[in-house]
Amino acid sequence: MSKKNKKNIEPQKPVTELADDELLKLSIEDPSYFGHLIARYQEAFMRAAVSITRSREESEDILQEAFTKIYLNGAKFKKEPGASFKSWAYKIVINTSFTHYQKLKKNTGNVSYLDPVLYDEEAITGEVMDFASLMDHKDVVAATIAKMPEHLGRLLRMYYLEDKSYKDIAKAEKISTTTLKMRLFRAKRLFKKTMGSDIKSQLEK
Amino acid sequence: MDLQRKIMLRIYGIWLFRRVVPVIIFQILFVILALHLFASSVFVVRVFQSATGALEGGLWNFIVFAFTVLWNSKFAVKIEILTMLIVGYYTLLYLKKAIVAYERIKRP
Repeated sequence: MSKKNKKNIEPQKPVTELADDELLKLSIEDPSYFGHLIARYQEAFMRAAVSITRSREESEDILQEAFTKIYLNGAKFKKEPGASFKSWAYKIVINTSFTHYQKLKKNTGNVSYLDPVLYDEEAITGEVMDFASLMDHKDVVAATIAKMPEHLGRLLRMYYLEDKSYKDIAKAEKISTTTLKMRLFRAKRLFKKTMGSDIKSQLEK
Repeated sequence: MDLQRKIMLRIYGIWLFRRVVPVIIFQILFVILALHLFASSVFVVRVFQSATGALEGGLWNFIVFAFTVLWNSKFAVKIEILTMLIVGYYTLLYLKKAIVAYERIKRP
């Protein structure tokens, strides 16, 4: 590389002051810049992945895959209002986590306990409550789902109670798989909230 | 190996195979082609024999020999040599770039 080209690649500001999208752009020519992006987001992304898989080991694999995807698609990323690098990358991490989680589910059968919303360390009523035990009380689950907004409850019902695949649900709902995963994630979060307040009110009675 | 190092090695591999390897392969093929053309118009063994003889007489003798040969060669041969030198220089630069990048990502 000539000195002139090298000057074009060298950033004007110190690396710590560079925006994420600038670092991403620089890393396409010099991969060492990508290390700064990893350092910035590794922990946050790890937390996101762990919240889905509940396994640090699995999450490390997910992070490797997600960062690779981020780098591979880095040239396509364009900063637009409301679409920051962080949200774009976060979406990749979440999608990779979900895909990984689905693979785990297929390979090992019952890994539902990994679910971040239905299985939480801060158990809903203070006692450990895993998804397996929740599924033993399908009627309670169905009652909670009924209290949720119709479109979110329907997704949970199809996925957890009717055991339908992502593909089938996405087709039935006429949405993409990615949108479905995001909606399911929101639905599960709401489920937890609804379930928690139900149990609390029952305990108060 | 920590996670960041593992990811960076992957990234380096991608970068190497996307940005450096294709260019180097193209440059090497180009130099091979240029050498082939060069060999068809120049008696390379004889030139090397003369060059060895010139080297025995000292570095200055060799430099004078190299310039004399280049000056007296055909225009097409001059272009071939120049092209090979330029492309060879860029190949070395790319190799250096790959090594420097690897050294950088190895740093904690």
